[in-house]
Amino acid sequence: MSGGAHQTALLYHLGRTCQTIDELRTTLEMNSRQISDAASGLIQRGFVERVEAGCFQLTAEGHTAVANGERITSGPNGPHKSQRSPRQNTLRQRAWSAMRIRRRFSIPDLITDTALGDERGAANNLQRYVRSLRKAQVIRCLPVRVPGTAPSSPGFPQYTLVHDLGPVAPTLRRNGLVLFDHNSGQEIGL
Amino acid sequence: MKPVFVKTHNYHAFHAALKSLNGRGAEECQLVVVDGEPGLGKTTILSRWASENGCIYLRAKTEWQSSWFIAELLDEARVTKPHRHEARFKAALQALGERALLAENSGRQFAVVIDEADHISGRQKVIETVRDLADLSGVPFVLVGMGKIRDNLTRFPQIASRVSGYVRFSTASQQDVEHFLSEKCEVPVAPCLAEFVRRCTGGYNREIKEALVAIERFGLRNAPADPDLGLTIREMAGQHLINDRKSGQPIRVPSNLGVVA
Repeated sequence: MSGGAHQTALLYHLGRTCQTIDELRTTLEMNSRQISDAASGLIQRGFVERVEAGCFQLTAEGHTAVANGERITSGPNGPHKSQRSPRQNTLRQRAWSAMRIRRRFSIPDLITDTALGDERGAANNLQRYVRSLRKAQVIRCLPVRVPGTAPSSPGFPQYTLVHDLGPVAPTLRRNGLVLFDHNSGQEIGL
Repeated sequence: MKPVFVKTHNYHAFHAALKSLNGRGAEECQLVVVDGEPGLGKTTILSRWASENGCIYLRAKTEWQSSWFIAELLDEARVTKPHRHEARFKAALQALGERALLAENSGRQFAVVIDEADHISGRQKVIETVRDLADLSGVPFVLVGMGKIRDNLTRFPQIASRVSGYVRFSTASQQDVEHFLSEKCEVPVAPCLAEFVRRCTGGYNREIKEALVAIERFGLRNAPADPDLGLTIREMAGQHLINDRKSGQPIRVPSNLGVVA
């Protein structure tokens, strides 16, 4: 059993009365050290209290946890608060740099500037990224399209950069619902 | 037009100049000057190279002063701008050093690219700041312009002597045009038409791209008789190819080998 499993077993075994380590050892398949460690973990979570040395009982929170059928796991113990640093030299990062340099661009321009040849679906990837930037009003679609050469081609939309957010490319978060600007640390709703 | 980047002889010349930085004799030679007429692909090549290598890319402005230049450099390096000029200079040096170290660890070449550098090549204070930053940080600076840089730098021998390489972008050769058309055009192009394209465009990339669009538009509607040979000059006879760079007059593909304007 792992630490989380020991804690879960102890949580469901303890009742309102105080039980000692020796009593617990006879009923649970755990040695004294494992019981002591599991009890420490549950005390940290506020589910168990130590009545006296080596004697434990559930707290009100512990009873609620048992009633809710909670399982103790090794983590995560809370939300990730630190900001993930953006990845370097991705297709989108290169495309963002190209947008800042060109200021006026189409998707084929970005592919020419950034694709190294080993990316899968570079055009689709950039298409989705550009659509999100447009929704966030970071870029603007120009009324004039670049004419295509194929007989039925409607041409390619042209864009211009409206808000230069900075050197680090904004990334999509929460399943594409918001755009995160790493330069200012702010989220832009889409 | 296929969205692929074609490596022409100008691209290779630029790369050779950057490689020469590594094998330079004097430590302080950290400047590369790239110049050439408009429409030769300078910005395309430099922007591609800068975004690929995560380099700092700045566009010089007409009214650029030393303080404005350092402020933009710090913005690009994501460093908070201190109040005093001296502190800003130190912050810029540190930021450049850190970025160079990061690039070295990831096996990339780091440099600062200054496009439209003609604006600053005659300004002693700005160009001296560039020199100081290049000397002290050891980070190469690439100055890109349209031909005045070389002449202007001769006024400052202390700067001119630090230029490790001059790259003059030249017009495309016949081989470049053929390579360009074969890589980017969605229709095969015969050597005779490629030769005509080089002749009437003068080897300027901008015009070659225009011609490529005209060829593609025609070729996708009228497939070449011999797909292995490609679209010939005879098949495209009478079609508008480009407008002449100097006169603005339309150039059509002739039925014989003379240029019809």
